[in-house]
Amino acid sequence: MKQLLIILLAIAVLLSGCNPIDDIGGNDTIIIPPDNGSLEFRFILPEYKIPKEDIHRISLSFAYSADSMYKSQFFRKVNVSDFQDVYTLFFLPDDYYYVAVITCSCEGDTCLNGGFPGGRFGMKHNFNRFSIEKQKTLVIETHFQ
Amino acid sequence: MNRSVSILCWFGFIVLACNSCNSDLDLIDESSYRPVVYCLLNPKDSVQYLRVSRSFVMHVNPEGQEISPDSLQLKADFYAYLESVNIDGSRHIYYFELTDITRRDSGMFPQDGLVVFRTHCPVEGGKEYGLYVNFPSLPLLVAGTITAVNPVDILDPNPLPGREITFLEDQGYTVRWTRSVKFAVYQPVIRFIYLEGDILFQVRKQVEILQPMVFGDTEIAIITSYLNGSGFIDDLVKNLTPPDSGQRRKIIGFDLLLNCGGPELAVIARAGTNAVASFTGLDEYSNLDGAVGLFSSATYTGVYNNRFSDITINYLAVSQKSRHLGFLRTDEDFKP
Repeated sequence: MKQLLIILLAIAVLLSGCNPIDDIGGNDTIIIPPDNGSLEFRFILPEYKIPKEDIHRISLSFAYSADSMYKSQFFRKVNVSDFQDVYTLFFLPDDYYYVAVITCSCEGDTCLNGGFPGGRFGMKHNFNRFSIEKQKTLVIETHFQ
Repeated sequence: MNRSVSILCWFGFIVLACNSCNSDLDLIDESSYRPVVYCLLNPKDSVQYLRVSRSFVMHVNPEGQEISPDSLQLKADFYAYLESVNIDGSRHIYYFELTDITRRDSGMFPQDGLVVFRTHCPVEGGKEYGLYVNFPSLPLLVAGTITAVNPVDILDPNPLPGREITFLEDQGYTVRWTRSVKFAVYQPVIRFIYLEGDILFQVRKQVEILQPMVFGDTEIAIITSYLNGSGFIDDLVKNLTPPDSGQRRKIIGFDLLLNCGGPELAVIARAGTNAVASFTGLDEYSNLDGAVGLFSSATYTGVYNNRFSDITINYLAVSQKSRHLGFLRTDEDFKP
C-alpha cells in the first residue's frame, strides 16, 4: 500500500512537471522607447488560387498625410521579405498613413486570374490611416481584395 | 716495450682525436621541406584547379633577405588525381594536367614554374571527393577527402519590380540564404554600383564592401545575417574618395554576392578570427595527410540589380557623413 502511494505520488510529480517548451519562446514584451508608441504590422499574404510562393511582399511604406501617400513621398520604408509576416515599428504619437503592396510572379495568365491587374508583376495595394498613442501598441493586419 | 706501445697508443689516440670527423649540424635541411597543396573544389565549375609547391624556411626578416626564386618550387615528379565516390560506392578518377606555364604574379616569387594544374571534373554538392598527389621518387602520397558543399540560394534580397531596400543609420537589412552544409563559412559582399561623371560623360563604377563572415553550424534550412545600416554607410565612406571637381555620382543599386566555404575553410577562417584565443595553434592546420595546405570546397552565388529606396539615396546625398562623396538626390541629374 505504501509502495503504491509512493508510485502514485511520483507519477503525479512527473505529470505536473514543468514544460520546458513554454520557456523557449522567451519574453516577447516589446520595450517601447519613451514618448513613442508601437505598431505591430501583420503583413499577411492573401489566399488566392495561385501558388503561395508566387505571391510576394513588395513594399510597406509610411507617409504623414494622404497627399504625401498619393505622391509616394514616404518618410519610412520597411525592408519587407517573403519570409517575415510581422513588422514592429515605433512612431511618435500622431496620425499616419501606410501602403502595403504585393505582387504575383506566376507565368501565363495565372496572376490575371488571381486578380492582379495586368497579370504578372501586377500590384495590389492596401492602404489606410492609423493613429499611434504614446506607450501603446497598435495592431494592423492587411486585407487585400 | 710496454712503454713504447703505450706511447704509440697515446700518439695514435691524439692523431685520431685531432682528425676526427667535422660534421656541421645543418638545421635547415633541404630535404626537410614539405609539399604545400591547395585545392578548392567548386560545384559551379566543371574544371577544378590544384596548386602544388613546397614549404621553405626563412632565416631572417623576409624584407632583408634575398629569396631564391625557386624556393617554392617543388622539383620532384608527381602525379595528382581526384577521386569521386558515387552513392553506389563506385569511384571515378580524374587526373590533373598542367594548365599552362604563363608567368604568374605571385608576389615575392615571380617564377615561371609556379603553375597550376587542372582537371575536368564536375563536382556535385554533398558528394565525397578524394585528392591524391603521389611523389614516387620521395616516396610520398599526399591524401585528403572531403564532402563538397551544396550550392546556396539567396532568398533575401530577391529583386522584384517595385521592391527596394532601405539602408539608414538606424535601419539595416536581413539577408537570408539556404544552408549549404551543416558547418560552413559564408561571407556576403555588397557591390555598390554608381555612375560618375558630368552631363556629357559618365563612367559606371563599383566598390565592393566585405561584410563580416558568418559561421553556420546548424540544421536550420535558412541562415540569416543582419547587415547593419550604420556599418554599411561607414564602410561606403571609408571605401570611396570624393569625386574630382565638377564630377557627381548617381547611385544605380547594388549586387549581393555570397561566398560559401566548406567545413575545412570554416576551421581556417575561425582560427583567423580568433587570433588572440587559444585557437591560434591552427596556423598550420591542414586536412591533407603528408602535406600542408588545404583541400576543401567553395562556391558562390549572387543576386544582382537590387535597388535602393529613394530614402537611402537622398540620405547618402545630404547626410553630414556622406555628402562629400557627391551623390545626386533622386530629383537631381548630372549638370554640365
